[in-house]
Amino acid sequence: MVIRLSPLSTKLLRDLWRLRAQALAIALVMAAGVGMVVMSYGMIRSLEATREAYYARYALADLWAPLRRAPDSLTRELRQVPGVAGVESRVSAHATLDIAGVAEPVSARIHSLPADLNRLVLRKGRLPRAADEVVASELFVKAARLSLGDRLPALVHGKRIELRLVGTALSPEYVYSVAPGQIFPDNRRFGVLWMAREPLSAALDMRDGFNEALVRLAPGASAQETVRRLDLATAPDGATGAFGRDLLVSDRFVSSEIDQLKTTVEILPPIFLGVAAFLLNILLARLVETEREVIGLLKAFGYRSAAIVRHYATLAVLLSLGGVLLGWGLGGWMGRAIAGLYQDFYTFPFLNFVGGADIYLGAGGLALLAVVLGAAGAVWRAQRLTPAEAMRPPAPARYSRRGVSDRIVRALPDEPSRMILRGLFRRPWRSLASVAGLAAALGLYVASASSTDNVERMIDLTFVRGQRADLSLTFAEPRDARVQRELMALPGVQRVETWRGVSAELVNGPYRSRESVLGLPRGSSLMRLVTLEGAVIEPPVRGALISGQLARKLGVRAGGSIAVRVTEGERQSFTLPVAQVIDVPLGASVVVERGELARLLREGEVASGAYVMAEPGRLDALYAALKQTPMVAGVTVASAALRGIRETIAQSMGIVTLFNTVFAMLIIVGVTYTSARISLSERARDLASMRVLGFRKGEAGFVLVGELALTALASLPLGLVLGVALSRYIAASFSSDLFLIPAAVSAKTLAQGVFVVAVSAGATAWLIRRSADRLDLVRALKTRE
Amino acid sequence: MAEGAAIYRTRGLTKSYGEGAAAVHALRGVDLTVHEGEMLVLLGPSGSGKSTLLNILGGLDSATSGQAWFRDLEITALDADGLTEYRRRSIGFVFQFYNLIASLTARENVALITDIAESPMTPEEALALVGLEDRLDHFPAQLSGGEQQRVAIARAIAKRPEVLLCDEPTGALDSKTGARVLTALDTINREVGTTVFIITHNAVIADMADEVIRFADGGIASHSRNAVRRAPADLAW
Repeated sequence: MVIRLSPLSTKLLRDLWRLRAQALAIALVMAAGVGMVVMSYGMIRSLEATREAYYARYALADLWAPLRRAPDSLTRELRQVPGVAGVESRVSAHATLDIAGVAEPVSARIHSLPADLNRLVLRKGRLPRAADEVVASELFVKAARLSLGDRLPALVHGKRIELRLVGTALSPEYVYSVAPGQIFPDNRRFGVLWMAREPLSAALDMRDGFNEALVRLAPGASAQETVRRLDLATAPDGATGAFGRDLLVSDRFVSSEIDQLKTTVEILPPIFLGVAAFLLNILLARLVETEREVIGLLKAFGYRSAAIVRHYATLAVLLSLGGVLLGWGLGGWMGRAIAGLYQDFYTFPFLNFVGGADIYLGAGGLALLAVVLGAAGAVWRAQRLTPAEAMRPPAPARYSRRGVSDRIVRALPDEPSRMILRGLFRRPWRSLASVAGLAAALGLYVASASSTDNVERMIDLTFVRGQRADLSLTFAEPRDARVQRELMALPGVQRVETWRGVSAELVNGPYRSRESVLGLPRGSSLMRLVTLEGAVIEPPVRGALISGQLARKLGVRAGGSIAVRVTEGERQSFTLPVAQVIDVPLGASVVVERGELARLLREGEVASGAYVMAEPGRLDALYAALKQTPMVAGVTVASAALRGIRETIAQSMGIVTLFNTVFAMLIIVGVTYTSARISLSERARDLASMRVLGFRKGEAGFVLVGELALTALASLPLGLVLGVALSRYIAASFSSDLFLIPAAVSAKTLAQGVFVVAVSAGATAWLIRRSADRLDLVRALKTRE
Repeated sequence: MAEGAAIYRTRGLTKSYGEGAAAVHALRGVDLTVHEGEMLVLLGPSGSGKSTLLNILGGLDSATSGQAWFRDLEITALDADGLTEYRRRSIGFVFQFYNLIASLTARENVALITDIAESPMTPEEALALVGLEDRLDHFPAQLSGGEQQRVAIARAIAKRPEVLLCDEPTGALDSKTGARVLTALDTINREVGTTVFIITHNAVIADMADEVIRFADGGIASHSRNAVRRAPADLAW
């Protein structure tokens, strides 16, 4: 069967074919926007749905109530607390593992095997049966290169016990697992283990007792109110304060990731779709201008305005249809790629990227909106032309020698430069939009690439200027002053500074927050507080330094005061003046001078942990000694933590930065190529005239390439400023109460951004020069405009 | 008037588009000699080959076969870059649709050329030659059609080309305005000594020429010499 197309449909298809290069440029930019929407919203939905299903299926507890030790009978009492639907007790401990192949001591969290709450997903092997058997978190087993059957010598509560790996597992409690106080996972040096309750209780001297209650809330019960009641009920047993899922570290990281995706979706797709709308706008405007005669002819023949509108509107939609389809594919592909990447950090037993038809349609709808906005002006102008008007050539372009802009033009030394500038000034909005499009691309690149700068700055502030210790130790129990000498006696130790930390509830009027109050000595050289701006702050003689985040949460300012209720040990209460509010990137939301804290706690020189500096050559000996030192519950090795951070960043930022670099280049090529093609079409006669008058190809091409270069050049300052601003905005919105990201765009990143613009614009210039060189001089000159 | 040296010679010049049975022969073997300082008018219907010849002589197009010399330079042997240099040094063009750069004033349109020429007139001199000394700073859109064409002529002659090739220079103009444009061309031919080719449909214009060449079917149908050149102002159509 032969399908006969109407003449307008045939024209439509031929126009599409003729405009294929520009259509591709627009489609790619649009695809980036649509893809980003599909990927981000799909990922947000997938993460949220997966999290919900995972938590429900494996019965993640609603509340955690850690305590010092309680008899099993307490669980019966806790079940009576209003709002509580179920209670499961467990035994948990910190441990230091000595793993063959890992020089540093490995920190671990050991839990007794769950019954009904926080159930495990067994991935390999089996659950422990014998007393010495454990299952371990899957990522840890992989990172530490352990195999089933491996022996794991562990130091638990000062006792050395031999454990044996019999399985690997995932837990909804550890979707994101980081060592206490860390924000980046280091799976080689931190793991979670589960073992039978009996032997673990024995190691902790906790027979017939437990030290943590997991609570399921009754439907409709208030978490906050139940926490308060649980605290009352567990206070006599040394409770450190119950908390809900909102304070579960793993869940906070997952939520923070979802929030980051939401920020991404706020910023990127509007840029891409806006640029695509602009490109479509200038392309169609030019098309209508060159087709005035055709439009006039069609109208003279009796075609209605509606048919003309339909024709150009269909063209606009078809021009962007490829972009939408491509974007759908791209979004799905990126979604699966990112879901795979997430599996390296967030351990869900299943994480399938599920876009959902509504997301695909919604993204397509947004793209269509951009198309309508972009095409409206041109289509409106096309249908408004009367046949007679349309068949007259357009009035010659009007220029004026008045105004400031022309004074600049007249100051130029040569005519081709004047042509460039007058061309740009004649269509100021289009020129500005081109500049803005390129600036947005540059800004996108800079903001994306600067995420590495920001983390490097964070590392510099935290590890280079702040924590200068080689090791950070956490003691199993608070120790007295003698610990200083004991640590100095370990091999290779050069300097020891101890610190004190207590968990406490901070209250200011109706506002409250659970924090760790840190006591640091003045004049410390191993652990200094460094603000986001790089200033080193000493703990004040009186009162506390508190973080900006905490100050906002508690509604308190420097000069005010907060009530402190210690939630461990003697459970002291005191009032703490706020001496200064500071922003530090990582950790330490409340810092008090060491002696001052001791006075407030009415205790002597008690230490919770220590910072240690050691001879570089004797680190391995020190690690070996620490693996055997019972008082140490946790060891963080600065160099290893740093390596972990860098690896994480390289792994996670690498692919995202690559995506964004490609996207930025797409925008730059899309904007420059489309504007340059249109410029070429508008200037074809001028260029042909110049060539006929004896200008060489390069000299005539200068007018096009110069315009492109000038536009690119004009976009640089704006783009760099935008990049820095965007980087700050992203850093601020990615910051959470877990960490603050400093905004620090490096000169190298800015230079790379300029380079990306130069390369992309250069590629366009080369393409356009080629088209300009191929101009048919005679035809360009002998046709009427 | 004594004949000058030959400025153009062609031998068996042909130009065809397409191949085989579908081929269109725009020029079918043209042999021609043109002397310097002459005013030539080329007449003939559309498609008779006059524009094709002019394009080849002006270095805008290449011949399919045959040879053409500009003085001792074989232009049919030049490559694209060679043709550009040839146009740049020796040839001025005037077209029916003026082809001025809309974003440059009259003075700047002429300066476009004087900037790249070796010993040009000043833009002011060139514009004075065509009677536009008081329209220097007007943009094309602010000039009438005749004025625009005279700017185009000023732009073409400002570099003191040896040859001025004009393809239908009055095609878009009324007779009064057309006469002023032709006067400008006549002045340049007489005062500067530029060899001028004018392509036209309008047989009346032939009266202002030294030589008249009539084209038909891709070849020269007749080549004649006027005993007297009439002043353009005396022509009426």
